[in-house]
Amino acid sequence: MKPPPFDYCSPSTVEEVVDLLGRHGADARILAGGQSLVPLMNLRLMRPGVLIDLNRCRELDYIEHRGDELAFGPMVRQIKAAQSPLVRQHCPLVAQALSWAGPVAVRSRATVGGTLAHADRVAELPAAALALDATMVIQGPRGRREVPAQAFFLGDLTTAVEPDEFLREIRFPVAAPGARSHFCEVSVRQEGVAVVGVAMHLDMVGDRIAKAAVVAMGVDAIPQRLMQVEQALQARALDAQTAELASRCAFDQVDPATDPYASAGYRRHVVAQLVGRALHSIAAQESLYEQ
Amino acid sequence: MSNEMITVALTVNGQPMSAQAEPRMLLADFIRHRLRLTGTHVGCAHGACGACTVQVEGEPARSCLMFAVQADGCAIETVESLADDDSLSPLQEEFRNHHALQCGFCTPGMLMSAHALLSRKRDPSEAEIRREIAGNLCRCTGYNNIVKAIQATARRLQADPELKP
Amino acid sequence: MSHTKHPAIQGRYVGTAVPRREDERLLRGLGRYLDDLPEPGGLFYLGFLRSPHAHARIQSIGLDAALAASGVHAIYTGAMLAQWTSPMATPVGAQAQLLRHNMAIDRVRYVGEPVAVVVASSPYLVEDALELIEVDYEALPATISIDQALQADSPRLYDDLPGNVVFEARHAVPGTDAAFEQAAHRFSDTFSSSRLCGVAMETRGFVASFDKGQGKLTLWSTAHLPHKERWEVAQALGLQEKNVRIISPDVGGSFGLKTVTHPEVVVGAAIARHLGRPVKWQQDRPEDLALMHGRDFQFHVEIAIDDQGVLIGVRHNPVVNLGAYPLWVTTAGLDAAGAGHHMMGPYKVPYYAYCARSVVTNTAPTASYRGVAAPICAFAMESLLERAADSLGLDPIEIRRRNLIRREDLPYTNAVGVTHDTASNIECLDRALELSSYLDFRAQQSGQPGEDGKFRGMAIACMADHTGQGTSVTRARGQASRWPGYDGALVKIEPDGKASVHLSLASQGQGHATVFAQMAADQLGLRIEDVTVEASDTASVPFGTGAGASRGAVAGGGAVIKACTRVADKMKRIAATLLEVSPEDIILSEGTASVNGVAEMSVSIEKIAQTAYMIGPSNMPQGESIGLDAMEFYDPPSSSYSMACHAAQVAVDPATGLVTVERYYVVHDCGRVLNPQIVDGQIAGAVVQGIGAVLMEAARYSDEGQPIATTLLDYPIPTAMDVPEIVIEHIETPSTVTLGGMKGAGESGAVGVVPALILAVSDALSASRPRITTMPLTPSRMLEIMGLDPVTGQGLPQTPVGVDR
Repeated sequence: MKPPPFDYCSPSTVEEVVDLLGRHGADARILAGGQSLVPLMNLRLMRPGVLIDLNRCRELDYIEHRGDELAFGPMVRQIKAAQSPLVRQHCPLVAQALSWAGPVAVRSRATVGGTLAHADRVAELPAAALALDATMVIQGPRGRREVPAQAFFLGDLTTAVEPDEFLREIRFPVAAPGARSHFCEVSVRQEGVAVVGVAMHLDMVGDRIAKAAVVAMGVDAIPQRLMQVEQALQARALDAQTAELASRCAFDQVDPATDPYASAGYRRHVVAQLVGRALHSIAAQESLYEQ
Repeated sequence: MSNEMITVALTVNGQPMSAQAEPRMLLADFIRHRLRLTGTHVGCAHGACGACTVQVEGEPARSCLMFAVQADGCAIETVESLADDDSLSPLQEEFRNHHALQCGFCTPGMLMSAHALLSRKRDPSEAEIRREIAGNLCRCTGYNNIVKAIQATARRLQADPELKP
Repeated sequence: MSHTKHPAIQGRYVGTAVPRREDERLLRGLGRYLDDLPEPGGLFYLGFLRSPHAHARIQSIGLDAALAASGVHAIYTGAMLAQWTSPMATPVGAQAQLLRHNMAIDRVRYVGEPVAVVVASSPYLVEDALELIEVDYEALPATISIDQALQADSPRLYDDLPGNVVFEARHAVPGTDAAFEQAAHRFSDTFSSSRLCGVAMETRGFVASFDKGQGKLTLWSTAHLPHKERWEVAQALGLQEKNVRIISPDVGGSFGLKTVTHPEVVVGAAIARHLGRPVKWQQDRPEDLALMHGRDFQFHVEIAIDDQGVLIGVRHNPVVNLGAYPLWVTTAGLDAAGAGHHMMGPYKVPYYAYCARSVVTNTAPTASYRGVAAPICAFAMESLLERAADSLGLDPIEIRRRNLIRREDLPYTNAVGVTHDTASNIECLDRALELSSYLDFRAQQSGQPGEDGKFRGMAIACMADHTGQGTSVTRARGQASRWPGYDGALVKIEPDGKASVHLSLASQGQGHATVFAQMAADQLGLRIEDVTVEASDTASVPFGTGAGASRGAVAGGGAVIKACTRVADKMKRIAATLLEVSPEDIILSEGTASVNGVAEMSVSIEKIAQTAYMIGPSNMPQGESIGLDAMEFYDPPSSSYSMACHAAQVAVDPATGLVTVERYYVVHDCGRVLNPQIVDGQIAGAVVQGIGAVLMEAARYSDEGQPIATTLLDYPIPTAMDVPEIVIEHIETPSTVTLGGMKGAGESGAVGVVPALILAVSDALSASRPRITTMPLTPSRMLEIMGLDPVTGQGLPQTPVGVDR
């Protein structure tokens, strides 16, 4: 449990980061909070030749309200993001998802950008990013590009970020007035790796669902957008019938696999239950802004 | 590549310290074997047990998931910071009073997590306490005495606003 | 069964919750676990290359690249090590011996078996070099499970053995089969336990140092049983035992699994001797999780019952999966024979028979984990009794009442010849029912989910734990070896009147430094601050068995009582001479010897010590020897049964399958309670380990024999969020056979929790009457028990139920 050797770089500006990525490319890895990368290095499952540590890049640690978006620097610590009044008001699903993202000592180091770029199949924030149609800003020697969350997650631990690029910024749309959201997951123990989870965000018009975003995690190699559920929720009221309909729809849409921790049937059943639960919980919320 | 030594200068428990480390040396190993502060324990080296929890710039952190070079210029607190020469801290006293340790291996990390909580919030609920220490595994006690010790410390902190955990 | 009567221990400390004396230094971060010890000069670090195959032949090992790596001093293979060490041998059957080489030579039998060892100048460089060793294997077919091992045509692990069964023990009360033939009712099933990891928070390790001039080896080791490790290392290296010194410093938990002497220790000792340089190994967590397990059992159990619900007989066929190698001379049969002895638990069983077997498989070796076989024995018996009650229309509590050993049955000698001399089973049961409001729960139970959508269930589990066994019992079980059954204490009062107790039981966190100091302080009339307990160094403590199997307080306590009695008697004789009274009139208390009823006639223990060592002005009584110490051994005359009743309430969420333990109670009888806080800590900790075993823990293997749980993310253990308050009460029925009246307390928490939780879960699902016979009850398993199809996800109501946390 000792990491393999590497060269260590600790740039203090984005310019230096881009320069280092351009020079080392495929041999380099970005070190953000280190809560996923360092265990893998200690287990020698990852062995970057060069580690580019972003922790001294002060300019990457910000949460900014810009028009109808909330922009996150990748180095925002998860615990700060979850506690931020801006985030709780404008992107409640992000705060909700992060509250499930591991014990305090992990979340106090782990970053918003790190967990998205790591893209573990049962990490919480990728599911929320997908549900909210977040915009991922990727930067490298060829400049900046923007990738929607839908095109960002390519597989378990695989994203659209090229080896000589890094995740420069994440922009989440600000929730519309009256919007409601919920995140829930199930693990074998209370504080543990998720088996399945659901992220849900609903735009409301009056007491009707105007637009639904529903994402399941733990049913595929990347979080899965449950389109049929989203369509079924369109224009419906937040009631038990809607929850039941959505739950059945989710059951029909997912096709998970069995692993040592849970059967395929379990994942399917529980995702359906969590979709129903999320709707019940959302229905019980007074209003988004009181969270 | 990479085996060259870098000087890491940091403040540990209020004392400026420095020592050499190659880039890959884990902060936990650096604290234990370079600085010879062996109170911080390593139970898993993959961030899952919490035994190596220290405070970095006042926030709890796994020292097995940081490289020593990352701590250059930082203020680190370890379990050795809690007591003074004469007496245990209130949190440590309550751990002893409530039999909140058996083998004691997880205890330093548990103390540092609990200390971080009580430094932030002097009247945590039982649920908040359990949540806060859920990242610290203990195989001996069954946890309840640890929760009681933290609750007892919180009561003392509320009774005496000057008291530090 | 007779022994010298000693006065009951009494005084200021015993029986009270003295805060632990080891705590201050541990809380300050001044503990001295293996990796905290100052490292000797010239130290090398070791790391082991391990087999990636469950079963394979080693074709070749290429070391050149690794030898050229930075910091590498040497690399050794099994063949090289075999020149310097003897293999460890386990008797199998009548003559055959099963040899375990300290590192594989030509064949590997489990994933993780050591194949080569790197000696380098830092732990980091060790791991770099390990990656450069090249080994060619020829994979062989593997046997993984108990079922496979029992098949005649399964791949064999040992060419010179006829099959994979390496231990078999039978016992039958005459007439058992006939009694079963004639019984009105029979109930049977196969109960199993998943393999478990111990997850002591400190992993194993050692520092080995060899003094070539003196031919002496010193091993600082996480050994749970230092004297046993000394013997095994001495044997493997061809050293005399007196020339091997084992020091186990602070040890961060064991739960039984550190009782095993690992080949790594032998290898390290041999390398230290070969190189003349100290070497160190600290196991990492994936090695801990993948290389040593406990409790891989499959017990087929059948009970016979009459129409009144009274047990006529029990017969059973327990099978234990040992993994690839039985690890010391008793392990081949320890758990299996334990099942043979433990199955009856607290019940009267006239007819009894078993055939206990152990098998070898291509999996990591197993050792006795806290509770040994008893948790699964209790699981089987409590489950079958409840089924019998259900079938006969009896209340599940009533059927237990009809079969529990009662006070009026005493002494009750069970079908394997062990005598119950105390029996508070009914009292424990009654108090547990009361404490847990069991009857109120039953009265309100509807079988329907609560407002939160969860099903709730409650169950009790009665149990008796076989503790503190002495030499006669270990011999009867066929275990007589380096696990004899007695323990020793050397009690010394130094010339300044302060005492040290040197004990043959090393601690892994149980609080020995407090409990045995309490006993010694009371007996010697000293303040506890003036007594220390030393138990870590084979050079300074008497030979003995060591902690384990709930024996510390019984065997160690007895030894402390005996040795302290001798020292106290001598102090009284000296004091009597100094004060010119009779020794019978002397009372020792608070560091002073005084005349009973005449407090002003007194002499300090310091002065007595000076007299004893002839450094003071006074003369010793005629005929007394110089000094003030005594070494005594205590061999418990039999076993003592601790008993307990556990009660648990669980909630089952039918939407997610999550089981929550909501309420938990233990009414416990371990005889004389020496320190209630420490005893409660033992019970609560063991219960929580059981919550882990029942709900989440499993050291699974793939069909090919690859361990699946190799990190603490894959092998979850309970956190503070998974445990309820555990309410513990004691009924103190002192043993009539042990010195001091103690009975063991270390394991019964781990025993009762398995049936209590599983039956509570069954009770919660009483509508579907599940028969749960396996663990863990993970959320996925739970829903499958409730009827979910693991492939399609169909089978349960799809209406969303319950509310989120």
